[in-house]
Amino acid sequence: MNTKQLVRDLKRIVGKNAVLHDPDDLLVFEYDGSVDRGLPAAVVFPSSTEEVSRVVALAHREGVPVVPRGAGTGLSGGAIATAGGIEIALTRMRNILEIDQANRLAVVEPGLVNLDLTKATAKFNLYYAPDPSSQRACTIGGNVAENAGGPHCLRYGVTSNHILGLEVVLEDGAVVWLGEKFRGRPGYDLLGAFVGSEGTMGVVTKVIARLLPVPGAVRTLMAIFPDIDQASSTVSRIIGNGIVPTALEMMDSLAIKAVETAIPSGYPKDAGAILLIEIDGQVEEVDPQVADISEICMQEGAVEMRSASETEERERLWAGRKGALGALGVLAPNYYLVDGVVPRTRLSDVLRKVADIGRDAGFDIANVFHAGDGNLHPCIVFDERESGTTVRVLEAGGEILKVCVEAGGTLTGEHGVGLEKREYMPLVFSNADMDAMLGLKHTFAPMGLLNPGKIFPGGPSCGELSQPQAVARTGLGAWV
Amino acid sequence: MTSIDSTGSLRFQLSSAFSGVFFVSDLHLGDYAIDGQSPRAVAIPSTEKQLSSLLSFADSEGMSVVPYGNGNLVALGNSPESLDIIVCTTGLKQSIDHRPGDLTATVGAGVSFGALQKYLTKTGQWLPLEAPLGFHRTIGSVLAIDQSTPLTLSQGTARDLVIGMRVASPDGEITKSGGRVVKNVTGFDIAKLHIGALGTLGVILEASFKVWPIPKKDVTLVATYISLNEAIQATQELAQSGDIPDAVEVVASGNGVSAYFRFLGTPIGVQSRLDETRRTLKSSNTQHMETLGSNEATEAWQGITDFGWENAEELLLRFGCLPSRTAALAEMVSSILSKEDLEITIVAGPGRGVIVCTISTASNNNDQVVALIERLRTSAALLDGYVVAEKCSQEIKQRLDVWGFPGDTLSLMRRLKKQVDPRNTLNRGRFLWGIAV
Repeated sequence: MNTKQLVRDLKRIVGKNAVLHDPDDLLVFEYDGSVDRGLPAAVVFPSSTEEVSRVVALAHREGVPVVPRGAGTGLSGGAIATAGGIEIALTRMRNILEIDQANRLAVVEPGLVNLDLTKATAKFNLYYAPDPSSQRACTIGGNVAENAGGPHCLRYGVTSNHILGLEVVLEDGAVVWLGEKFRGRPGYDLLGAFVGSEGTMGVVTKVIARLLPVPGAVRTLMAIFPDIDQASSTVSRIIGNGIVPTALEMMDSLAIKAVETAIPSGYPKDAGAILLIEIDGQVEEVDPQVADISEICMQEGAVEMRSASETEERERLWAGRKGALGALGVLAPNYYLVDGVVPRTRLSDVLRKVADIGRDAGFDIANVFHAGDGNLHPCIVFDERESGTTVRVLEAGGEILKVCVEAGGTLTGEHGVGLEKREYMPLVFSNADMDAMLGLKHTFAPMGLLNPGKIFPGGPSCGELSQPQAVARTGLGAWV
Repeated sequence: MTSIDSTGSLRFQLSSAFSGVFFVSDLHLGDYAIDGQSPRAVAIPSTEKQLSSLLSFADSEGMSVVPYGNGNLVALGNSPESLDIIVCTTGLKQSIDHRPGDLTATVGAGVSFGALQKYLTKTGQWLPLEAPLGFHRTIGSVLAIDQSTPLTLSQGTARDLVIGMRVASPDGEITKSGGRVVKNVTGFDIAKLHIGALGTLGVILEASFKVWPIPKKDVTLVATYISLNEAIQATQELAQSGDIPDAVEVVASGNGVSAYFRFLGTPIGVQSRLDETRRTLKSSNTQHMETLGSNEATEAWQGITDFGWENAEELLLRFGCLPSRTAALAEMVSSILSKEDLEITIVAGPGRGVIVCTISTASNNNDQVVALIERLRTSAALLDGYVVAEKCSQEIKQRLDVWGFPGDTLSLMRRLKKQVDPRNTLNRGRFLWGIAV
């Protein structure tokens, strides 16, 4: 089927105002949050499960690849149409269908923006816990595909811990429910295996999300350290003392300098590192915990502690952290972000090695990351206009991932493998491991039409062609 | 077709082919019978390699294999379609690699759940997971069965705590997924498929868990009620009032109705929640309230978790539904059962939408029991709920599927099973609807 015919059929399904096919219109959909690029033949904006099902069935009949897309904020190339085909943008399906206060759940469409769910449930004193830093823009459907994390996952877990059920359109257009409003019915946990499958096993059309009660009190602390080693050892001490904060985030001196230049947040410019620590609980119990944590920080060498209890003050402390990636623009025009994870006791050691890699390759690296989870985000800052730089940056990124894996860690904590890290999969998994994963994928999508070329090494790619572009441009509006 | 002589002792023939594997004497094969069916051989390999070779052999010979821990919950599941070899994981290395600073533990499948918890306690940590008869069972068994228990309300199930897993596929290939870090989206989360799969997709060899600091305070409040319904309603009102306890269970037997509330956390936090709960319960139909001593509380929660498995009840049923429908489900169960001449005990977890019920039937009338389960299933379905016959006689198992109808995803589950275990080697016929087509 040629593109013209395909577009005509798509318009018949979703209406002429819900299909883009002009090359100029498609350019925006060539990108996602960071890496790589690939032009789809058409982008459709369905409004219902039925439309999604009919589009996917059409693609199946014609052997055309399908790439599901949320807000396009993903950082691993998950929403890139590597093999062309149809991008299904789910952003028009953004309704909240039900909020069930008694059972603490919400049924939503996949295009709903993450933060909008928490806003809508606030009046019931409930919230949706996973909070990627892009939560003002990213969609719940995208979160499900990537099994997204966020600063508060330390205590409350990642997306998969908060999804009860999914309505999914399979490769042939069939619609099935995985899971339901409660857990426990016997059977294989297809839902658990589906979350985080990066759009390769089906297109999500409805989501049943678990909600948590808003805690009685929240406290945010900022601990300021002269160097990053002290901050790292403090992370282990806090956890070792039996305290698991809701969030435990670290920024190093370079990240602090960038933030204070771009979006002044009151961070001390001369600090070696800061920890942002958040705890929640009963009103009566949070202040004693603040005292305990402060004592540990001071013992480990913190030179100053600041704490905030009011929402506005807390948000100010968080503003610098959440906007850190965008702020890197003051350092250089480009950055390359690595999402490796290490056991948290290896933080100091691995951060030193990351700094060495940067120094040897001649790049500055800013660190702004989820220290409590051991989820690093080294950001290599550089200028892609300097000849040969990008290739060296990517090599340095690969070196960092190797160091993470050697330390007992892994390639990605929350951004997904996508296109960006698929060639590194053999660092972590054997061929047999990957065959088992491919077997699961084959069960759901035997023709391999859903988001082809993602996660596993090899396969259809435009990666080799565009590797030099496999970096993000800095600027406000990027999150990590 | 096979190189094994079907008339001779399988044990004898296997033991010559697999040196180093311990095989249980033929005289004791009856001890391992499942629903009256004895295996042809019971193998206790001491290395993963031996286990893998055995699996590979059995798979290529078209034999059926049942993965086995200590056999405590072997009554769960449909009767096996065939039973050639039981493969025990208890002979494998009893390894626990606990890294307190990382809050992780990697554990061999044959390690007992009780031994793991005891080990973690040494450094003030625990796996916030319970399991019926858990202290006697292996980690592999706890994961393969993955029942909801009282703490599921606040801590989730094994699905929320496992961060990595190694398994032996039916053809003997050893694969891993996940890892030893608490946050990880590298590759598919294959471990989820093995949790609660009754060993039908692979033999779990090792699992990595997130572990947590033991809460500084752990208090249990018990309250008494006139009726099951009043107790459930009181607990649901409590849930509506805001902060819910970490576990809430209602026990209704011939001795009356009691509700148990468990609070975990900091001393100040627990006290505040306890006071609030007392205030809320006072305004309901609560008769009497008291907090339990630590030993009493431990015993009470263990009793609730083990309920139905600690002795030989004839029939153990598990119901599930949306939590807010627990009262309606309990009423339905009570009203159907009260019409029969049956002695019943009910444990209900209103926050998690689970009711577990033991039934002692006065007669051995299988027709009556089958009709009863079918009636309960029809009524539960009206509430979008399900009924699993966790324990019942083999005669009853011949007449119904113990798991109940799994819904629309059965065909996907069957496709998965066929993909992973094309010769239907593992636990043949025992999981829902026999799984294989």
